[in-house]
Amino acid sequence: MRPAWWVALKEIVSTWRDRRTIRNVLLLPLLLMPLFMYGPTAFLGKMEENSKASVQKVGVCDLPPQLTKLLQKYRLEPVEVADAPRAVSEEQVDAALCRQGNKYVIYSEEAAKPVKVGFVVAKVRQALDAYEQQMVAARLRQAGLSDEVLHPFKIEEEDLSPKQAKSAGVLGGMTPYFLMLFIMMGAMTVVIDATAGEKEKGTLEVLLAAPVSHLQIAAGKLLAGLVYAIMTSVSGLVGILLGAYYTAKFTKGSEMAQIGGSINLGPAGLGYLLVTALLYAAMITALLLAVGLYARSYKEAQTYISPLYMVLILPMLVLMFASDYLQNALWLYAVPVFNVYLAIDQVIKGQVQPLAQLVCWVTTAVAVLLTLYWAARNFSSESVLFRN
Amino acid sequence: MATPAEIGQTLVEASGLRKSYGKTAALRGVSFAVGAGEVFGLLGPNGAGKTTTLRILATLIRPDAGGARIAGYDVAAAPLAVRAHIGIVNGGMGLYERLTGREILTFFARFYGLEDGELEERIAWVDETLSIGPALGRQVREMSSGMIQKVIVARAIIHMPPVLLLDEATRGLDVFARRALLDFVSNYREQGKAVVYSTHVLPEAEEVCDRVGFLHEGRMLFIGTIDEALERYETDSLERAFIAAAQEVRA
Repeated sequence: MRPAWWVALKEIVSTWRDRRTIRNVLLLPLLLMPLFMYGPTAFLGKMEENSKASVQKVGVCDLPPQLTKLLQKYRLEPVEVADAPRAVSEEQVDAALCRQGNKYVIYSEEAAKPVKVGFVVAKVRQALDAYEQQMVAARLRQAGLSDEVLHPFKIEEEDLSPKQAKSAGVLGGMTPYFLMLFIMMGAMTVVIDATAGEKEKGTLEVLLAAPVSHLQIAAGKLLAGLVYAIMTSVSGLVGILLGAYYTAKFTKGSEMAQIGGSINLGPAGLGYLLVTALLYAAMITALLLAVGLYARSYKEAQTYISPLYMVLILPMLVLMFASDYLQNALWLYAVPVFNVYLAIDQVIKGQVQPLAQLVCWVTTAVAVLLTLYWAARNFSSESVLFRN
Repeated sequence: MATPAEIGQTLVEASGLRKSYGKTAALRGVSFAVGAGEVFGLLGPNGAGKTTTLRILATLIRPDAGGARIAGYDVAAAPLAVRAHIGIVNGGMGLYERLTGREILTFFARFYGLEDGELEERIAWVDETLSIGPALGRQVREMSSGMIQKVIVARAIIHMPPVLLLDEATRGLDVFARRALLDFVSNYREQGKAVVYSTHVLPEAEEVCDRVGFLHEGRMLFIGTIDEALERYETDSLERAFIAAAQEVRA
């Protein structure tokens, strides 16, 4: 297999010397992921903090004095308005609260301005809730009853999920998706240039006329794609972990910290994750090799690979929201792409089912062999190589 | 120039090659042979079947019928052995942009079993033969087009193949690079190698080829020395001889 290694080395060196590749594939995930994860969390946190601290104008009409006082308590400035909907639409106030008989109506443009107005409406609701509780308590007292009559029992909730699943948060849901995405990005970096790129530059014909089997050429290119897929994944995962770390650090104790989440794999989990990721990377690289060879130019290859990208992304998006419903369907671990997502999801949530993991590995390994065979065949197929 | 009598063993042998792409027949029974120490010109306009013929000889495509042997090895039965005995250059070929000349030569030389000291000796030999010294430490994207062409030829001969296949190899070359290539072909023949020189530029063939074959619409119209071609078609230029041969077939 030495020629395969030489081919791989050539591809690795060649790609490494392309500074754009290194910047886009290795540095960007590392830098962008923390920003992507911490940025929105920090921004929303800051907005919430500011909203709580500052006083916003709220239009009021026909409110009892106690409720107006409560609005002030929740850092809102009541402003008497004659026409509440108009005052809101003309932005004289952020929201308005009016009594209409026995009903209170909140006017706002919350759907159009969900963050800014959303915080104000939340404050109005809190004031209304507090006012309702005061009224109920007063009426109960008048009737000679304790307010415990409204709460005949207490509710306690205990989540028995594994510790890892409880702490995974949004980070846990995102990780399989991003890991699979990074693997594909890394493999693409090498593979398009190693197939369609070589065709376009007229170097492939020379390579195929050298005394080396086409299977070895395919294996060498696969190996190079694998190296970059792993490098990109590591870079991306380090970025995700950095993002999670800073999100947890700066939002400690707040609701935002829960959203960030954390991942604790342990040696066994890491082992499961590595095997699954490696097999998936090999399958994707071989698939891209086989497909990339059909293209006559770099640009054409991108048009072939973009739909493939969508085909691979869609199952991931579905599973991102439905993995807990499908986690126990063993047959799904035999479906390429789906199985990898589910297997990684299990590992991250600390719910590893060895049989499911094994089915995933065997199926993916078979898919690797089939796609590699397809790629090697394409390296020998004149209708693919010399297509006009 | 070597005469047929001086030519040694047959290194390239094509017999009855046929090849179609869908309904289009690219080759309709092409046969020829090239001996050691001979430059054979495969002449014809674009679309005549020259590239298809060379691709069959290089084991890149398979003929529908007929066969070919390189240095005694059958292109269909022993493709790896055939590839070990050929070097190939065509006008559309490129090089790996981000590798240096030395890295490219090393990459290909290893496939032919050249390593360490022997590899260094061979790089020194191609440098001496083609003057590629400045290209050895430079990445391809920093080379001139003439230097790139020299490295392409160096890559094709690093293993000193007994058979060299050149397909429109002077396409896009400036006058200096073209001259260097033609001189190299003449010298390579002197070392007892066989060269198949495919071109549609007939004056080039007149200068460098020992024998020529007129290939037109997938048929070999004529095979012989340039003098034989001029005599048979009663003209004073190879170009006119080719046109006469094509007209003869049409008639």
